[in-house]
Amino acid sequence: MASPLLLDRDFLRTLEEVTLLCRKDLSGTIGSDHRSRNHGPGLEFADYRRYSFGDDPRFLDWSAYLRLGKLFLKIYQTEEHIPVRVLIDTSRSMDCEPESGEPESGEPAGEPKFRYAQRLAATFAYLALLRLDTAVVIPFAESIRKPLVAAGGRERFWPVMEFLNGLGCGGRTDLLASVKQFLRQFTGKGVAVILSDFFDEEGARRAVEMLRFAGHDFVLLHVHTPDEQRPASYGELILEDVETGERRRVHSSPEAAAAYERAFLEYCGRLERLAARNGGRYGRALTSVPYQDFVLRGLRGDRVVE
Amino acid sequence: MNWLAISPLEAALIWSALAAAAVWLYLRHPRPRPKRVSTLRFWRSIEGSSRPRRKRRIGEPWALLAQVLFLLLIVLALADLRPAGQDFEGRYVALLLDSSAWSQSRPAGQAPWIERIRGEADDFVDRLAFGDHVLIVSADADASPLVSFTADRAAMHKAIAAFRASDTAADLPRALELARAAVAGKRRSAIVYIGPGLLDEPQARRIEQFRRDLQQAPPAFRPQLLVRRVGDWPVENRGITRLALRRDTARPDRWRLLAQVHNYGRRAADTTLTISIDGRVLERQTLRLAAGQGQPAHSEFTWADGGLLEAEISPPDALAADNRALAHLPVFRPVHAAVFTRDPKILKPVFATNPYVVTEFLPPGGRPAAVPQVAIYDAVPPPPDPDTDSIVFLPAGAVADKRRGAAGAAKRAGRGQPAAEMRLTAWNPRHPVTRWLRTRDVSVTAAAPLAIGARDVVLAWSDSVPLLVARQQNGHKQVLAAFDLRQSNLPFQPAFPLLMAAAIEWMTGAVEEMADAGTTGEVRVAGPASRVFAPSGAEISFARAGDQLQLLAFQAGLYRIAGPEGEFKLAVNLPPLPAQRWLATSDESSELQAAPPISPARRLWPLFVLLALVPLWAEWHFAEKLRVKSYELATPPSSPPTHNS
Repeated sequence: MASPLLLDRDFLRTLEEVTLLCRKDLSGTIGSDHRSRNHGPGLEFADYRRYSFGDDPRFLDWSAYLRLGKLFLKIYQTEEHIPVRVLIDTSRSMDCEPESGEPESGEPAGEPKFRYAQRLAATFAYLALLRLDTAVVIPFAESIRKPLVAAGGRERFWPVMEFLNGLGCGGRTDLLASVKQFLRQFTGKGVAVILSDFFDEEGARRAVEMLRFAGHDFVLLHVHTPDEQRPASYGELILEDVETGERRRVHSSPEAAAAYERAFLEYCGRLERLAARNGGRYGRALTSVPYQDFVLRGLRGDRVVE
Repeated sequence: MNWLAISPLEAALIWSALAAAAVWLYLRHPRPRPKRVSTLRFWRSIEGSSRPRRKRRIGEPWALLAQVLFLLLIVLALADLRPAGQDFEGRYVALLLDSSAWSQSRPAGQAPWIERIRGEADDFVDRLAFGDHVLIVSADADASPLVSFTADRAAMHKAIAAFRASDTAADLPRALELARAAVAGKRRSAIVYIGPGLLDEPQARRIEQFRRDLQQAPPAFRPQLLVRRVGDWPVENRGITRLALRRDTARPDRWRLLAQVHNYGRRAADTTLTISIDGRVLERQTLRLAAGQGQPAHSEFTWADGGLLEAEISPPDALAADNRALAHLPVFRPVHAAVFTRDPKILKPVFATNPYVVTEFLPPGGRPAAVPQVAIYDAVPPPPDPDTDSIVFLPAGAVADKRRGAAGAAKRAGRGQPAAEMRLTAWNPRHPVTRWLRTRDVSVTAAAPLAIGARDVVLAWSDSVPLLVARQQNGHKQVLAAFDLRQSNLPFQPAFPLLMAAAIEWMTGAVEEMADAGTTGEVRVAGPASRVFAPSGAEISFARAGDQLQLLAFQAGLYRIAGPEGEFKLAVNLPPLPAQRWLATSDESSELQAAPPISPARRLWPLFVLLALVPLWAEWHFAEKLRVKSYELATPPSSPPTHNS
């Protein structure tokens, strides 16, 4: 059976003009389209500097020497490979369908959370492949699962979509354990994009700190549905946690829904502050917003892409 | 005010039920819905706000109040409330449906009259105005309401459908009096009779008197009398109006029968009368009946065994119920008496003339061929404990009560020494043995003193000395004479056979001389009874009037009456049916006075419906307000944008 397209062709064409931004000086292998802060072998001229002993004489500017009688060395902008690692949460909590909603919500129900995360993961992988970077898609729940590494240009995007489409949800979220495992497995610095609902706050806090210590440029993309932000059902409810199985009887009233939303937004604020404090970026992906809008407007606003 | 569609109580009940349902719906907590979420942690953090409600409370009391008010106005509209003064009270109509035996008539080629009565009654009820109250009475020998005053058409039609004809002759004046009493004091009332309208002469006179009484009532409260006659008169019908049987006094097993057959039609007719007992045909007679005349039929036959005698006339005619009459024939069994005597020539002539007694004369101490029903001891001392009913004539100078001793008996009797010759001075007129005896020319010599027990009854005295005593002991009856027949002139008196016959009848019971049948209607029967069963097998109620039994027999046939002494049967036949038609006046043949018109403008239900729109709108308004409030609470203005842009 053919896999559905996670990203439509028009959007893929639009992504040609979008670049994934790195906020950190990441040293990778040379050869990508990413301009590095480090100068080195490259095609694009960057600057001159006085020749020092030991410099490669092939980069001497002989024209300048003829005019000025001094040795200057031409410096080129290094274009490095920056691996883009997309960690996508495949825990059971990502499998929640958005509630069709009651008229009180006033908003569309949006698409499933995991589907939305799959689209964003595909977007980041495509952006990486466009710039000839390495795209690594790493599913995780209680621990990371077998990743997919794609490199070599956009032609390698199809396996990424195949991989993403083949993912399913299950297990509990243990972000700290997963990040620890990730850092052990991928030692090189790079851009780490974590797509999750982040309902493991303590794990998220420590995971973010570890990513900072490891020197990764990380982006936390908080994927949630509208009814996770604001309950769409009123009345007596018996809620069951999809991961822990804990049950709780609640009365969902307009007042309770407002208090719930306040608690949720406070939590989002804490996540955002956590990311900022550790040099990362945070974006809240509401599944009722079309993913194209989120990528082109939301992520631009968060300075994740440009 | 009038409540035409439903009563105020019904309206209040309906409104209360609807209001209770509305309150319940407002208070109702739906069953908690299960839901799987990934955000339970946030619910935990707002536990105070999301705690399940313990107490039920109404979310929007004003909306509930508006809904209850709306329901009240709608119920008032349905009740069709009207203002006082110009109101329509509805008429009160007593509808008399003739359920007499004539209602069973089915003239050739026509529908049964009972069906026509039902159809006429249904049409009449359908033509009544909404709100008219109708009392339906079944008029036959009795007048019993089928349904009390009601405006419920369904109840009226149901009562009419359940209306059945009886086998009695109608007592129409009685039904009219009942109807008049029912509508007394009511404005715009009417008495409507539907039926064949057949009366006898006394009933016609009573109806005339009834009309006069009606005219004397105040006009405002004078009921309108209407007559709806059903069927054409006369009909070709012949019926047995009487059936009577009597025993021959000389031959108790011979019966004389009298049957009276009446021709109600307008043509002379030949009718065959068939007499049968238990299905065995005894006789057939052909009677020539003149138009409108009756004719007796006589017959005699011998039949000792009991059975059910049936008289039937043929050919069939318009009314089948009176073509057959029944009578229950009692069994005749002569009494077996054993006479112990040394000299039978005194008693033999007495019993030789009595066909009801078979006697066997035996010497003292003799053994009868069969156990006798009555033993007669003529100058023979009876056994100390007789094992049968007995008549004892003590021998001259005998001691009456050996158990107590002659001296003691004489003392208790307190009568001194027996006289040499005494004259019988008084008979006991209250005892069945001596109630018909009046003679005073009886003398007795050498009478023995009688010891009188507490339960003994003295039947004859000589001054204050008892000469004849009736005694009941050990379940047996005894007549004890203090004298020897040879020492008295009693055997030569005409009263002696009567005394013997009465004594035997007291002991063995009377022979039924008649086999007369009762007629439907009020029936009186002698004797105690505990249960009475109609020919259909249904148990019917009855009343006791003294030693008589009084019951209403609506059905012809054989009634079973169970009493302490066993069950006996009573045949009940149709009585002579009235054959005079009610001549209705023009007023009685007119239509029911029209109900006063109802002004549509006076009806309030449109107003109530319009008023009900106000609370309906108010309820919607409050409910919408609640919904908007809920939405506003769910979307606070301070809510951050859905994504960081």
